[in-house]
Amino acid sequence: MKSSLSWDGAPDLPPTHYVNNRIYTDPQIFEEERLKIMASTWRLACHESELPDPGDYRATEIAGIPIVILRGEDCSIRAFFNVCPHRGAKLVRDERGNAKRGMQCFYHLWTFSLDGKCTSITRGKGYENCGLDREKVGLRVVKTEVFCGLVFVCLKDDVPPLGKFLGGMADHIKAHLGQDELEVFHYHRAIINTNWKLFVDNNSELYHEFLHVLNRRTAVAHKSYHDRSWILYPGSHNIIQQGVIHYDSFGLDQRTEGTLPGMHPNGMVVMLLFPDVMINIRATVMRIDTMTPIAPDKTLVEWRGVGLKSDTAEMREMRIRQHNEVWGPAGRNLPEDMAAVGTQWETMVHGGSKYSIFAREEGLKPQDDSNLRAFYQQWSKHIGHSPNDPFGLYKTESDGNRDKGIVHV
Amino acid sequence: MSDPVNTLVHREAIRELIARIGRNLDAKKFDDVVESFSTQGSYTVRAYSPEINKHMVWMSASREQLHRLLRDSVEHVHDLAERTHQINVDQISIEGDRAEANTTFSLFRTNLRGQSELFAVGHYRDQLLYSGNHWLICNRTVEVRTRMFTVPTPLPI
Repeated sequence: MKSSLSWDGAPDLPPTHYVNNRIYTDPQIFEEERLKIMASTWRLACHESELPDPGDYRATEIAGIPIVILRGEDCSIRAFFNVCPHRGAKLVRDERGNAKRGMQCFYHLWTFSLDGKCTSITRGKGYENCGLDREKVGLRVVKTEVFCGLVFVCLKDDVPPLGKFLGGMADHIKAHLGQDELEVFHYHRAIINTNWKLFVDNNSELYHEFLHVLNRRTAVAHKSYHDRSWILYPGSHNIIQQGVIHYDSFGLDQRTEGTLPGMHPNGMVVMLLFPDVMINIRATVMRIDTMTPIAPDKTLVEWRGVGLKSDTAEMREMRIRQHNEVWGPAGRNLPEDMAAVGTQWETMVHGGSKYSIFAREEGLKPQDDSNLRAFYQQWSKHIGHSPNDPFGLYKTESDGNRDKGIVHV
Repeated sequence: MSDPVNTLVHREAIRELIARIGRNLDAKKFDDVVESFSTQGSYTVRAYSPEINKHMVWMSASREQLHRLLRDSVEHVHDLAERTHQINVDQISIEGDRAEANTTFSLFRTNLRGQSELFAVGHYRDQLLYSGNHWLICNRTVEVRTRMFTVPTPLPI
């Protein structure tokens, strides 16, 4: 048992092996994350199969900024602020659509081409005296790169190229997503009442597989599960080597037919991209998670299910069934993940839980916490605060210095 | 079933069956839920995603698979809230020993503190079979309008 003093005190561990839970609940830290991470790094916005034809668009949000991603007449994918430069109304108001004839703001009917140029200003003569014309009111371009079908955007213009950001992970992505044309067949989202990093932690730490009865029986209970390792790359991107899942241990179908590129029968791979992306492949089907932090206690999570574009109807049906067995809003595991991260928030928000421990050292084996420690090192690099003692820094600086280094967008 | 009184009796029996499934789901009487399906019965949850412009299947289970899922549910970490179905059977058509029913439902969840919220709305598209002096569901398709769930669930909606 612990007294209040020992409960509130930092764990007797190396400082890299625990975090202060205020990093999950503090509004100032949340705002710094929005600006220094969400608005400043490459973010996965969608999959190119969501934009099959010229003029197709998808609307989303990056760091609170509405974005429209669209496929131009030249088939290139571009992204812009989903904002009319005139008075700030949204250019497109729906989640997706086709704007082959260009985008027209519904408010004052200004129009824009698919490459972001203003093509007409309603009663434009009224602006002649002040010298405003179409050339001066194009859309705000968002840096965009497509890699293996994944559409990445970054709000900052002076960001290193995507290839440099991904580093060694690019080869793994290519091995699984770059060999055949893929297609998103499932999409759903939810606003969960927890901090975004708690869901990232949950996706990252395989120790949490004990939460899931399905994973306990089909994975953790088998020796082979433990005979593989995490590969960590600079920038806190990482991948767990492929393992074999024993679906038969839970009475589920084996996943031996229709395996996705790079996958063994019944194989499973998890790839994590900083800050918020998880690509999880269970032999025949792929799940891609992305997150949009809304507030310290509110996170929009988007889940995509992915198969091959060339799937026959039967094959697609099989992938959907196998996707839904574990994942999706009616899957077995997601409600359990949600329950875990939701109660974590409830204990942390008023200080009932002060610290989280990431101290497992198993030589990079699946349930080693090294990838979590790497995440918080990278987080710290961006935020400039120590995750185990963020307010120790604050004590030595004036309040005015707290904003130092924030990149405003 | 051309006798109007007889037809009304059957319509009422179907209405009662659909309402009873809702009550049994709320009461977690899962065996009784399964008993309401024919041996070849199936259960499907569908939704439309405007984001990817696709109709999606979120769950597809035979009677046997549904039974297993419900039996397993006690082993899963599950939502502790209580659920309350509000069901309105909008339309029933009967042809011999077959029938179809369209139902609008609202599903509320009430957490342990007694706070209630709307969880899901949608429609049941039921195909029914008259067998052994009672009606059974041979196919239920749940078309959910709600696509953002505060608490996802593998339990039937």
